[in-house]
Amino acid sequence: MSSSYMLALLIAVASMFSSLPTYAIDTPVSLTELLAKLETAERQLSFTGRYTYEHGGTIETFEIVRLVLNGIEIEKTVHLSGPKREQVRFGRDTRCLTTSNLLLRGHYLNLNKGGALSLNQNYDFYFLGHDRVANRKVFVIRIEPKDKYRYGYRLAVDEDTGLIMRTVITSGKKNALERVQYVALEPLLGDMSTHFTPDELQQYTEKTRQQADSAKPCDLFVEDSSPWQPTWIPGGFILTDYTLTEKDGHMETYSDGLSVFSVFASTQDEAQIRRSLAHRGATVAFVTSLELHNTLVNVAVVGEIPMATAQRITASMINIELSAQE
Amino acid sequence: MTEKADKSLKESLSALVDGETGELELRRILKQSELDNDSVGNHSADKYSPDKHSVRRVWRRYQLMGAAMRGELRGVLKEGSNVDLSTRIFEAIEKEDAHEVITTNPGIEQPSGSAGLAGEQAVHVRPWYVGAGQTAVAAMVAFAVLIGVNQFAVSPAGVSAGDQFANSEIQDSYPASPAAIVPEGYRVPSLNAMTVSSTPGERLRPQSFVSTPALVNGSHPVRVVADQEMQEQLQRMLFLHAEKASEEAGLRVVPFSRISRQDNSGE
Repeated sequence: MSSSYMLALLIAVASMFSSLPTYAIDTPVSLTELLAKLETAERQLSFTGRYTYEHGGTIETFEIVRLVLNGIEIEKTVHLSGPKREQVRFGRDTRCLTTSNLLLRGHYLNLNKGGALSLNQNYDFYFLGHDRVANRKVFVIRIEPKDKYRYGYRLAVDEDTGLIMRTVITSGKKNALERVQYVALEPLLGDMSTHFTPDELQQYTEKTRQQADSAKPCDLFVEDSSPWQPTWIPGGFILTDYTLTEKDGHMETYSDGLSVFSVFASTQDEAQIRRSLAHRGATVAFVTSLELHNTLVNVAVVGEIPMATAQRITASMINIELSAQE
Repeated sequence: MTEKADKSLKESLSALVDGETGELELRRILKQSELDNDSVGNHSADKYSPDKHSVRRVWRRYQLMGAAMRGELRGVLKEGSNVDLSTRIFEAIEKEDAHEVITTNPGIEQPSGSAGLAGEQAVHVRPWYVGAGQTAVAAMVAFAVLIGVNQFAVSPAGVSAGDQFANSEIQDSYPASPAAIVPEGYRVPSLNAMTVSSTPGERLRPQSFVSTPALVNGSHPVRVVADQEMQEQLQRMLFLHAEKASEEAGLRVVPFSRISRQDNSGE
């Protein structure tokens, strides 16, 4: 009786193990290594590929060609669906690491307010297993936010190169807001004139030469900032850029390593009310007019964050100079 | 079945739904369920009619409630009865935030960009009734929907595998209202949506503008920005953001495809 019971138990236990997917046993690399590899690949590799961008029941298709020579990038995105269009981006120095790059590499960033920031303060990382995307073997990882102020991600990372083959931005456990997925990816080889026009290549060469001459150091720290600032932003976001735009006033960009949002603020001589709310995929845009310090200010928050976060950021805007005087 | 026994059995059943019964309890439930079977027909005139209180019925109800609360009924329900309880429960709980007492020293809130960390460290004091209130909200939402759940229809397609696109996204298949000022390809969210009128005199229609305080109080001679202008501004800002995000973020390809539908004329 007892021996047959034991046998049954053993079989049960054995079948439990055999039913486990094999990946649970062979953990490929540590997630830290994987993220670092991903970061390097996304910055440095030259490739050509086609991908789909899917959001809210719409699928768009793109072709991308990316070349990095001596650290300088040229990237062309061609729209394969809808109106004929393409975008070319020149001259980004991929040797410069951004805040997000550093965070993805597992660095801790010191904050000037004290304390340090790292990616896993705000996200949990899970290795989910293996899959195949664009006929390539990928690792699948899930990145889950630790609070409700940001979205989660599911990434498929090419085992061979470290490039991200699929990105799904998720809200909650199962809701996919948008998905970018490669259907084909190849290393960039051969004659570049098949991928870029002579004009583009010439511009690129020029940019490369300029950048080599100037030898400008990478500036990671943002020196200027907007007088209009939110007093509340979700934990872990830091200011990564400030620009004074021509038409939309002050623009500050914040990142937590994965999610990015921008805050626009402008005042106008003519009082105007601007209100709008839009979203596509994971991107929201929340525009409103606020009366602050007896001034009508147009504030907009645009980014890949939940609407509630955007609204809360907007509601916390102040003018730091004027509030200091008050 | 006496009332007391009935109650304790229901408790056991509830525990079973959550997978927290002991072996003894499980046996008791199974036994009762067999008894129910036998008694059908014999005691139908009893005031606890087996119809309503039989173990299997109760079990089914509990499973249904559980499924509804976890949002698993999507795709199983009849077409058009878009029931996603989990979302609605979370929304309801979200609106309950007035109970949450955050003891933050206003001085701790940092005005500049690198703020936020200190805010996170603020001590959250949650009074006991917060949890109770939220449970009540969840239960109410669940209950309200259960009333209609008899119209349950099992669709042959069943629940689709893989990713469920978010509720708001599913609603995207409806054409956005023509009054909505959003760039091509963008949508107006169903909740908290507001529109801008093109007629200068017409009042703005904020449908739900909860978290933004005191806007414009009317002391200014203001004009409402026209659709066209608003749309251009939105496109410009979305483009600028996408550009910055693609420079900044490690997940490079994502932000860049977001600018896809936009006109570069702003830049």
